[in-house]
Amino acid sequence: MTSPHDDEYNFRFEGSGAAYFLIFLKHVFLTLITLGVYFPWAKSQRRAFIWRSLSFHGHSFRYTGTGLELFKGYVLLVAAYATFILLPPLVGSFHERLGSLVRIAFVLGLFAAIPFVIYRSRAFLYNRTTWRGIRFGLLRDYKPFMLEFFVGLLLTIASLGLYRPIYSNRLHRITMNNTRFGSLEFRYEGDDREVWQFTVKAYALIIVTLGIYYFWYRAELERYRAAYTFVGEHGVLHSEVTGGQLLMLFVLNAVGLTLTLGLAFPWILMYSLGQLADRYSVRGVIDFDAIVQRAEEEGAFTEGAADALDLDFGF
Amino acid sequence: MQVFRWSGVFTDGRTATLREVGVVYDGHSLLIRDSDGSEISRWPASRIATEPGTGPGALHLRCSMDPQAGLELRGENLVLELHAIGIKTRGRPAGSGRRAIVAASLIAGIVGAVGLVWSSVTPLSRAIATLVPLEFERALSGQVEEAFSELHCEGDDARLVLEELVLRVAGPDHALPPVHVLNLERPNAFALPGGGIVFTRGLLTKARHPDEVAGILAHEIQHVRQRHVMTAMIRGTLLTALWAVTVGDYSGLLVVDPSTVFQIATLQFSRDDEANADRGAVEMLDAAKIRRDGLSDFFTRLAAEEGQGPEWLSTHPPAEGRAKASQANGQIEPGDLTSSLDDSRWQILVEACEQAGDPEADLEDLVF
Repeated sequence: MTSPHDDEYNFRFEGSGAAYFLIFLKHVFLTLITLGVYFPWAKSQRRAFIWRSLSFHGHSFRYTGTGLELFKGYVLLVAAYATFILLPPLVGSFHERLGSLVRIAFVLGLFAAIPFVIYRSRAFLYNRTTWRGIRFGLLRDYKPFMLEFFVGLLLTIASLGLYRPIYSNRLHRITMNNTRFGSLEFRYEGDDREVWQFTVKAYALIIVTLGIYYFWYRAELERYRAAYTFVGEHGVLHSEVTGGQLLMLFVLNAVGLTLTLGLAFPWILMYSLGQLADRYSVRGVIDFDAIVQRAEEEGAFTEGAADALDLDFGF
Repeated sequence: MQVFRWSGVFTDGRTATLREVGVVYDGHSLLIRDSDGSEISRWPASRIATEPGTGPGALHLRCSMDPQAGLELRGENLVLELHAIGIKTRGRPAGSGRRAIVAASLIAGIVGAVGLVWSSVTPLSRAIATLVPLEFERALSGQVEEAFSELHCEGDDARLVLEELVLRVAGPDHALPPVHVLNLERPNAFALPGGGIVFTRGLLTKARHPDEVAGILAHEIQHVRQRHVMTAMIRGTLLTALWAVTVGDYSGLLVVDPSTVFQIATLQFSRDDEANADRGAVEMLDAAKIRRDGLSDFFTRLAAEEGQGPEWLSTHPPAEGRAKASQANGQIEPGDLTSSLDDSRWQILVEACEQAGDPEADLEDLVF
């Protein structure tokens, strides 16, 4: 039973490396014998395993997406890709200049679609994630994200990268502020200037320390973002991840994977996720009884597109 | 009838409230009761699906009649009890012995599947390639031929000699591929998407007699006739796509770069294509009654010049083997074979690009 007097809600990750390795083998085998058709189902099963291995306040997350949804998205994506490859030369065989124009239009369209695909793909992922039966979600209002994506990209290029920390922080703010858990809202209030200041300081230290400081920078960024992420009215995310921990995980990954030619990756991944999850919690008061389900649906086409464009978020 | 009772937690999917509940099987359904005894829901056993729950020994149940709701049960004999009432469980934890057997079986299956895919991908790709017209192959490759056309350097006389050589080698019964000379220093020759063939200026000046060029020309014509370029494109696309969906999601975690392993493994296909082109070239030269020693001379010189790199890292079979094969595979007695060009035409060909500017060193020096 929940109590409005709870003040810390912890994350836990308890996935088994052996179980994940079996999932990997099954994935490879079935994908091979179906010449790739099984891939969407494999991806769904892998996500389902990872999601349910992660718990919050003693209750697992669930991934409710299906392989069929992803499959439909991939079919549409393959059709779009085939059109992209075949249509310009086909048009070009009748009218060469028109074929070139069609090709240019496709490339520009593809570039313009990137932020849309990123946002909608994340929306799909959130919408298929539940906790205690309540769905996460991302508001359909993707235009601010798209606008920030292009404007921020131009400013980053024009500033030779100096704008990058602000760019990243603003995109994170838009995404987080649009995130919902049922009726529960999230809010990110991290300050652009503060992020910029400690990031620029970190850039200098990373150079001086030949890259070692990067792990401390990443940890500081994670702790900062968590500290300014509010969950509902009275909750706040909390992170205790440290630079030393990130460095240790990096070394473990590099050495462990090298020594085992990569075959230990399931165990290393499960261990790494467990270590990270233990460092996160939500502090404050969350009235779970007041959180109600929202209705929000996002298509799987963008999920497949994001994957194919290598815009996947790791899972 | 055996009575089964469990305790668990229930979520209705409409709020995030978690309720501690008691669950009883009444012969048809799971009766879910709140802590005060009031009935919350009734789930027919036939409509229930399970998956692993939170923590060891827990199962998460869902009912298709109320897909938003969730019931989490825990118990030592839970799996057996649910089986007894007709509810199949998924994700039942397996012992380490069973896992090892499953893993070994899957690994054996993967090895078999890889072998099957590997052996069938080339015939499949070739079958698809024969359906693609050469014109479409050229259009698919975009601006390749146009980019190379800017490097053409042969004069009119050399072009006529080339056309004559192509007719002599290829024979009158087949379409003749266009052949050009590129103003590049490095000796090379290759078939382009769409059926064109190019030699570099460096190869013509380095060749010792016209039959070396005729032999190389026959080899490249075989690449065109056997549709190796299109086959390689299709095969590469199929294998790359299959690789991406099979291992792609995991490749970022693997230190031994799978894409490098993949590229090395697919070099065998390139070597097979080259060997097939060599065999076809010998047959073509015999049919045209052109001396084969040009081709074997070229391979012998190549063998002396090339390094001792391992075959498995090469796109071509070892030159020494190619030289022997080119002599051994011929059907016509060497005495019955003639040279492909007379001395005067050969001289025109060697000086094909005399009127052009200095050659570029290699394709890498060009900016496309």
